[in-house]
Amino acid sequence: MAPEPILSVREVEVQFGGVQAVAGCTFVVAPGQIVGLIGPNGAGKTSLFNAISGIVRHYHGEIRIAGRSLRGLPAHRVAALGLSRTFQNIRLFRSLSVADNVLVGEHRRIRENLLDSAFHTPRFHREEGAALSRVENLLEFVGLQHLDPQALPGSLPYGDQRRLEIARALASQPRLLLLDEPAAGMNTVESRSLGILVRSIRERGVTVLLVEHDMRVVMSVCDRVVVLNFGRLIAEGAPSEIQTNPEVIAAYLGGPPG
Amino acid sequence: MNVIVASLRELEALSRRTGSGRGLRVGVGVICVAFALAPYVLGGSYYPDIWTDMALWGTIGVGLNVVIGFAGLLDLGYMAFYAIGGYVFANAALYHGFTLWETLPLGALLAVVASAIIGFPTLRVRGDYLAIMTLGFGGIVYYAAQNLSAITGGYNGLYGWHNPTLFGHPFIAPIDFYPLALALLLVAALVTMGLRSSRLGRAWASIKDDELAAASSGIGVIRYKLYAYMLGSVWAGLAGALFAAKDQLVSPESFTFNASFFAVAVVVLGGMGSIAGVVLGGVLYVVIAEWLSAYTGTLSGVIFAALLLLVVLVRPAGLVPYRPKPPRLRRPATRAAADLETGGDSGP
Repeated sequence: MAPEPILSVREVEVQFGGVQAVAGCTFVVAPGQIVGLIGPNGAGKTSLFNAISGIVRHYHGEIRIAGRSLRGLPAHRVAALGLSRTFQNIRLFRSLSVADNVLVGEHRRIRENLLDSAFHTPRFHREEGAALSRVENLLEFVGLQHLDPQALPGSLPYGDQRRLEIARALASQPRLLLLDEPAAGMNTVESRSLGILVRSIRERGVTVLLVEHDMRVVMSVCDRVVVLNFGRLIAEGAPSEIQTNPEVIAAYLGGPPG
Repeated sequence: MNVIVASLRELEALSRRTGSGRGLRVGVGVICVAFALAPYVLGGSYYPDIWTDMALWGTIGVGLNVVIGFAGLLDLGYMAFYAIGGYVFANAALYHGFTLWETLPLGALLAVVASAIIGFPTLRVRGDYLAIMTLGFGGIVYYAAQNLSAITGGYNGLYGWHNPTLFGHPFIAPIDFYPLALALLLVAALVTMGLRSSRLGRAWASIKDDELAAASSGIGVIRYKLYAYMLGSVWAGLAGALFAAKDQLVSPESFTFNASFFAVAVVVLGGMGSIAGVVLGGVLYVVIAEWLSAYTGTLSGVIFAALLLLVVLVRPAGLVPYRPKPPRLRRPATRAAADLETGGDSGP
């Protein structure tokens, strides 16, 4: 019997006003996989991401993380179940330093009560010190060891901002990481090294679901690919199968299916 | 005033260079001692209130700074908690014979409880709506103070309790309360400074920057906004009780919308997020509203407004803008220090 899926999406529909962004999607993600979620613009990928991560809470169907239904849970409770994500339009905390951005990701792991926070007790220093050394390790892991930890994220090159967001997402020790177009705007060299990073994330035991338009990244990194078009799942399988699937080709090129 | 700002900036730069914050601590210590001794050295003032009021308004700035500066919530009804502190003290002193020492914690507690009750439904709405709802709450407390005569004494307010004493020393003149107000300001400044650089402070800052990203990082946005509201209100409750004790009177006119507006102005003027800034803002407000107005009359309001406008236009981050303290990483920070000295991390 297959292991319990880390993520299961069943008959999920997301609606905005009259627009059916996601129209009944069903798929599962097994632990340890890297799964690509692809589809033309407007196919509903980001809407599905928002539903999974608790940002969109009104949807039909069922989403489960490790068997636990996410129905009605707000984003921070979903995060507590071991899900973490990045955003298509990078959403770093602009007034917080590089180190503090990642420290926010550590939020749930740092054990400080009000008195520790107010009076900087020995426990405060212990917890903050431990968190800071984890942050250093994470920055190194995502390839940002060269950064000044006090720099503001707005001053970083685009690719570094993407990596910093990934570091923040990993700081909460997720079981499942959602990456929303991590290679967008990257050149060939950058996106190749991003692919290497995604694979090393999986080696840390984190399952990855990624939305991506850069097919070189998708095909080289993903174990499985799920294809959406007009909010519907039109294909699912290994990258090599997807590449030759006539319906997928039709969706991307606009031709008739079949 | 430029001298003050310049010297504060100088101290900040010094503390960054030493890296340990020792320069800043020594500098702040010197200013604190000077501030503490000033009324006794200068003496003979027509307005002995002014020094105590400076410390109280500094505390108001520090408290509201948690709400506005740290968590980015616009609260237009902050002085409602000051009123609650004042009336709790007056009632306890007048009808139940409590002393100031027993009442201070009670005033703080009730201010926090009130902020939790008000904040719980209010903090679910965003931005403009929050401002309107807090404005309404401030108005409710003001009109309640006028009309709930049974506990507020109505328009006339409450007065006539026994003055507090400490070790046989009575607190009668406003200046007697000065050391207390100053101690409160100091505690408020130190505690909120501690909070700012903690897990809690980072959560607030992240909410202020991007609620969605904060929630996705596992932060319960509404809960942390409520914490900011409660941990901001507590200082107003304490300051309000001291204020009532010092004035030996509480009446609705101390808690008008104007007062709440000036509290916001103090934070904006001083520098949102910056402790030294908001204390300076509170001091400046009292200097203009109480000392200057003796010479200029109502014109002092215009002067304060002009100063506020000028600061918003010329120094939008406030007189003493907040600069985050660098985290202590093990990595050598030479490059970072060089960046900071050349001002590489931010604008002019």
